[in-house]
Amino acid sequence: MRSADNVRIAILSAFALALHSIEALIPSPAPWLKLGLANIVTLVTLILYGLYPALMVTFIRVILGSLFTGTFLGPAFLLSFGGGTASTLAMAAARPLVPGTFSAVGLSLIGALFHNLAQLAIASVLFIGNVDAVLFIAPFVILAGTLAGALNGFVSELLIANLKKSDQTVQNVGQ
Amino acid sequence: MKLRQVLDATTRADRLLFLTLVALAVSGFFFAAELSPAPYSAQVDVDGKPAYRLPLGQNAIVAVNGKEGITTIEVKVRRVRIVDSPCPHKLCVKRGWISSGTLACVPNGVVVTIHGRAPGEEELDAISR
Repeated sequence: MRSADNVRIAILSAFALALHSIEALIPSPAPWLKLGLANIVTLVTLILYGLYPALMVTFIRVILGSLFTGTFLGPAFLLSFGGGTASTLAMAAARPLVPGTFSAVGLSLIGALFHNLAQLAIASVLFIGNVDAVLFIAPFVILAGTLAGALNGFVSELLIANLKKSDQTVQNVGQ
Repeated sequence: MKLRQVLDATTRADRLLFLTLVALAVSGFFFAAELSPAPYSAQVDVDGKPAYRLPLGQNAIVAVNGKEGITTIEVKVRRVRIVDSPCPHKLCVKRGWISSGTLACVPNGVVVTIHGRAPGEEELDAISR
């Protein structure tokens, strides 16, 4: 059971890393503007397998991703790590509030919001030390995050639906 | 077809959350406009054409080549003055330090205009990541 979990985490981390790396290649008009595609994997992991695998996938993705892009332990890494952790925990916390309140889309929106809030907080404390600057950029970040979060939520929803369907097919074949 | 199903799968809470966040962000733009990084600098025009842009946060002495000769402009502690200019009455030099408005040495064709807000108000210079 435990090793099956580990295999699952490894595979999902690989997916997350691939998305993370592909996204790094996409040109962006602003450094804080990102799609956060890897969050799709985190969210799907959280919904299908729970908090522990989702957190592991996030940690592995952030650490290995930063090693690949050469930002390990740099400022970008701290932002990425804090954002990823806050986002995963927030989504996990929002999930069992009232079951069925939020679909993957709502959870993705919450994840995106907390990802951005955590990053803004870390940035204001560590790098800028200027609350005005953070307040100034916050609405732009939150709007962009909400749009990207909705998009990721839709993809996650589709992915989960298809994964469940293919699971059933496999089971039917087995019978 | 598939997308339609996904749209249908969103709950009322999802949509409410989405709209709230968008509304929050959009209303935040109005506050952000107040905090907006106003260009806080002195622009030096020579003969009507922009020649320099001096950030006021940075002390500097700049020599500008005008029509008659060299005008020396000093930026110090968010204020600007013309130190010297090759004009007969030295009106521009006599104006002394300014922190808003315009300094002009008409004979030499040099105009210094301060852009941005009144001094004392904090402003953003950069957002880095």
